[in-house]
Amino acid sequence: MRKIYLALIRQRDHVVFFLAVLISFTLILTNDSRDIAILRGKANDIFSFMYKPVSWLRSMAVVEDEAAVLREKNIQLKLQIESMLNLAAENEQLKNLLNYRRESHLTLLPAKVINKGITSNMNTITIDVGTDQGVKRNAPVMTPNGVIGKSVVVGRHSSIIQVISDVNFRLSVQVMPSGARGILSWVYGDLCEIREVQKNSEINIGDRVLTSGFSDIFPKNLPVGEVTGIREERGSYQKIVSVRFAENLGSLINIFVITKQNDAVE
Amino acid sequence: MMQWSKFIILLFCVFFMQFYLAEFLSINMIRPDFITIFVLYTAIKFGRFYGVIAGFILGLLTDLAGVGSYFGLSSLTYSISGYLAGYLKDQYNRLIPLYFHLTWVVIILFQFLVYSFVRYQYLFETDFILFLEKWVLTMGYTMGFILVLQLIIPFKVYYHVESS
Repeated sequence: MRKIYLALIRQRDHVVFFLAVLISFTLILTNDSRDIAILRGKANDIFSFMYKPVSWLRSMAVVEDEAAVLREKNIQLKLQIESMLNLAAENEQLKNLLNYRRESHLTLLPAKVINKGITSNMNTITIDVGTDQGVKRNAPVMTPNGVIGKSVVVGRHSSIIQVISDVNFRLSVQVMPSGARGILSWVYGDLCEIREVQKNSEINIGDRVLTSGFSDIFPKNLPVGEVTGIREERGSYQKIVSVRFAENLGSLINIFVITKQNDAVE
Repeated sequence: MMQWSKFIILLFCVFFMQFYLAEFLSINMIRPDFITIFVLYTAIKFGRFYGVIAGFILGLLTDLAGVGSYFGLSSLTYSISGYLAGYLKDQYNRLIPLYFHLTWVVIILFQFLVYSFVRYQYLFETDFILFLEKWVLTMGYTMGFILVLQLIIPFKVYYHVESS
């Protein structure tokens, strides 16, 4: 026993390295376990609390400009709402004529971005709402410009959001007006690609990309971005569509979490 | 031999520096990695044991501070860097300076290669040139800070080696 102990002490560099690698691989392979999620949620609450003063300072610096932009946007949105209400009324009339009713309801929880992670590249953000405010794991997150990600770790007062630029983020989307569907994943910067799109679908540059509704997480028809390019791979039955997503991830401050979605077809 | 209390305090100072400053110094969503710099200097001065411990603890704290996927990747990459850089302990006066500096540069390159390969694996498969660009840019920003630090605290002064 003593010999083993002395051998371990002599080789402690290698032993510690072996243990560090083993523990790291175990953590990577058990990312989805409940215990890890709870630990990360609690750690995130602590780090969010620590980052609050910096976040407050930063928000003070931009609050005036933000208010001006929001006032302008408010007026534009009011005008849009007016015309949309008219269209909705007309739509309702036509649906009633067809004897068909559909309700869709999204409950949006506003939140502030308090931290954008500390690794070399940004792939997550931390927001100041958690289970106490009704946020659950895998809740969709968006801005007025479109979808930006989903919650992956939820603490009591804060949540970690996996944004579109994370290497493991996938989104089922459809390209309008053709309705062609595919899986969207991030490439670099503000560019994504949609794969598994049928080769015979009609897609043009400038077409809107929306969520398809096939996912259990993201409701249908949430904006994602705009088509910027289409290419076909030789020998493949599919197209690859390049998409520029609508939101600038580097300047996220205010976002919305979808806490409730209700689709009922009668 | 390093005092543990001093080591722990330095460790947390570097972590808080990364935690609070990295976002302000980011360019196009790429941030400097002060933790890599600390692990490198610790390993070269105090050896593999301290390098691995510093890398593992700081990597774990980094991942706990907010990472969407691959929780545990930072602790893995920093531990590997700390272990490899630890081989350079007491080697400054044994190796030709060029080889010494080349070695730690290669270790940093390797660390960012592993990180970028996981982070940009889609680019690696579809557009290799762009992947190389992302790897170089991600690593280059931190290397810039290391080079500036080398002007202030070069390795040969760092562990009191007299130049011949």
